[in-house]
Amino acid sequence: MLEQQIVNGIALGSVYALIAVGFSLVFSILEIINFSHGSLVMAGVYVSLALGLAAPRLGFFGVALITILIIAILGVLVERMAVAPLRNKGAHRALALVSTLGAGIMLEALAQLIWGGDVRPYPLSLPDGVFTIGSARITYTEVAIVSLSAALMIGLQLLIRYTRWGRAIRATAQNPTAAALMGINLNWTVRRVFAIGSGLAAVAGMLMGAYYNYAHPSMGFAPGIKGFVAAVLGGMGSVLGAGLGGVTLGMAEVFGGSYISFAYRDAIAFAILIIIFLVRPQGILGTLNQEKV
Amino acid sequence: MDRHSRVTAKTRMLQGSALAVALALSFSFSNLPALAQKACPAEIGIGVIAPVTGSKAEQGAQFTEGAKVAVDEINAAGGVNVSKLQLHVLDDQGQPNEAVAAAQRLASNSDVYAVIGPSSTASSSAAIPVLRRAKIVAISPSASTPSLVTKNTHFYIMSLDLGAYGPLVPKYAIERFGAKNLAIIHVKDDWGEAVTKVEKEWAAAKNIPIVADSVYTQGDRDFKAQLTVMLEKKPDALILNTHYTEGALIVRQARQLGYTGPIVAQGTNIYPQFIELGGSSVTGVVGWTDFLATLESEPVVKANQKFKKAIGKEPLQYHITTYDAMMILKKAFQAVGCDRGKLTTAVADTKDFPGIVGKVSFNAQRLPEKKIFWVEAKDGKWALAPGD
Repeated sequence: MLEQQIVNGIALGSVYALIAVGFSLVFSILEIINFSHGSLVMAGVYVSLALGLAAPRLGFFGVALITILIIAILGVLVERMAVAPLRNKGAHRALALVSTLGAGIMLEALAQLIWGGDVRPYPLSLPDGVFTIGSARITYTEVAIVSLSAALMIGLQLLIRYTRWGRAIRATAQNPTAAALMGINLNWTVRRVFAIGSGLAAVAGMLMGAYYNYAHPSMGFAPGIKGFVAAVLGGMGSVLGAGLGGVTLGMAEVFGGSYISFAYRDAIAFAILIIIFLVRPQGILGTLNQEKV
Repeated sequence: MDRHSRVTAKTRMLQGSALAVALALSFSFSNLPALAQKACPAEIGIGVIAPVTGSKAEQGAQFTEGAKVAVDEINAAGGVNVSKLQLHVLDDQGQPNEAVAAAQRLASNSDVYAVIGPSSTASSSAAIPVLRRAKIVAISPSASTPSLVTKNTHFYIMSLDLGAYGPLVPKYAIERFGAKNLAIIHVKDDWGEAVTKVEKEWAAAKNIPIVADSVYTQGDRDFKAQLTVMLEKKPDALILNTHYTEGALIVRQARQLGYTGPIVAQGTNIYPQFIELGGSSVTGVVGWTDFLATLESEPVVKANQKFKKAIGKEPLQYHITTYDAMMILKKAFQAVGCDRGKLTTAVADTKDFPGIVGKVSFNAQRLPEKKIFWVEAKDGKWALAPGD
């Protein structure tokens, strides 16, 4: 049972991790929390669902590529409409939290308007199959979720460390004014960050859709909150921290539920998090004196 | 003539003509029992309190459409005695406070004699005191808590009550699949707790051990942790006290975790969406239902034709219960006229009423007794199962 629960926790946590990275990236550069992120995950589910139904010949990867592109653009649009105007007017950062939350609710309402409020099955699926390690049964979909999440996070970490884009993002995160003086275009850097974060949200959405075979306009809300918590837990601004935070949260849910009570699964998971914060207020990999990304 | 006496004269004239009309009516209908009844207004108001908007809008549409089909049919056939039925649809959004507001509006309308709704136990509990004060008889097409009925003389439900249908599921698991012990998973809400309690009491009385009983929160998608704990206990059968979305996901995940035994579900799961979401993994899942348009039995086929003609689509469960409720009300009006005190006893007298898919009776506790269907997920749809 223990082995199976570890598998369950890692699979659940990987989705949280992928969502957490989006929060973390945006926070690292703007120090705002993009609360439309969960809705972008949901948008990823529905856009891929619509594409999958309209053009089945694209296949999973064709659909995935187009969806990532569309959701990345949608993320940039959210930034342009709900974040940039406030930043340009010098509004307090807390306001962006409200405006992105509003953008998220609008996206949810829009999805409900277009696709209706009922649950729908998800038409794209990964290869069906199960193998066993010890007493644990692992589905191919779970393998795909965990390995894809890990690969994307490692890829992102490499991008941030070793490319010009990454250097621009890091520089802006450390000191926007100095970065701008060095010729880095702040607006473009912010847009890139939103595009990358939203693209990852799209991937998380498609993996969730395929894993649970399910689409609903409000399906992004709870994972969005969990992803945010995972990001804080791992240390805001750290990509690998987001990964660790996601898996920690997934494990806390699974084991808290199994050994204490499923009736209070979330409450127990969050209580565990509060204890972690009391010991490490900066999160697992965060630093108190932030050197972000 | 001054103004005062002119008014008086006019009033007298009106009174006179009213008397004449009444006399004429009483002569023309003197051979009908209607004379002994309290007369109805030209239009008998029937309130419908339904979640027309909000998250339960789909259920609300079934109420309003079912009621409209029935009322159109009744009015086209001449109405009740000489009166026509007139629907007053009020939206409670599935919220108890809105249900109270709707009940107050209906109670203040002296032409309203009966109400269809509200939809849920919570909305019904909230609206009942208001309706009771106005002595308006109400029938909920979907609520299933027996105490709503047994504690309120003017309230009825059309679905089997929880105390009656709860034990059917464990009983079926034991009788058809020979299960010696059971595992239950339920949703953490009023309904889930109540139905689980009924099942456990039944099992305890029969000495059937419940080896695992787990719970989830509405809206959860990942149940593998619960299922891993439950399956560790090696249950002979799994019982779903779930709603259809979560029910389908639970079955899928249980199969992925290697569970191959029987799964028996409460009626809340028996919707086409359960099979759409669960895909091939839900094949073999069994459950009960009031009504399902895909069943190939004669009354169901007839019901489908009737609704296809009237609203252009096949009926769902609450189309049927609403339609039947309206027909029971019609019969009560025919029996006692528009007498608020007597209407509820007339409804309580319903015995072997020919409902759209089978006979409906209210028993000594005024709770409904009716036929249910056992169905099994097979080839992508629900089909009649053994035991039906």
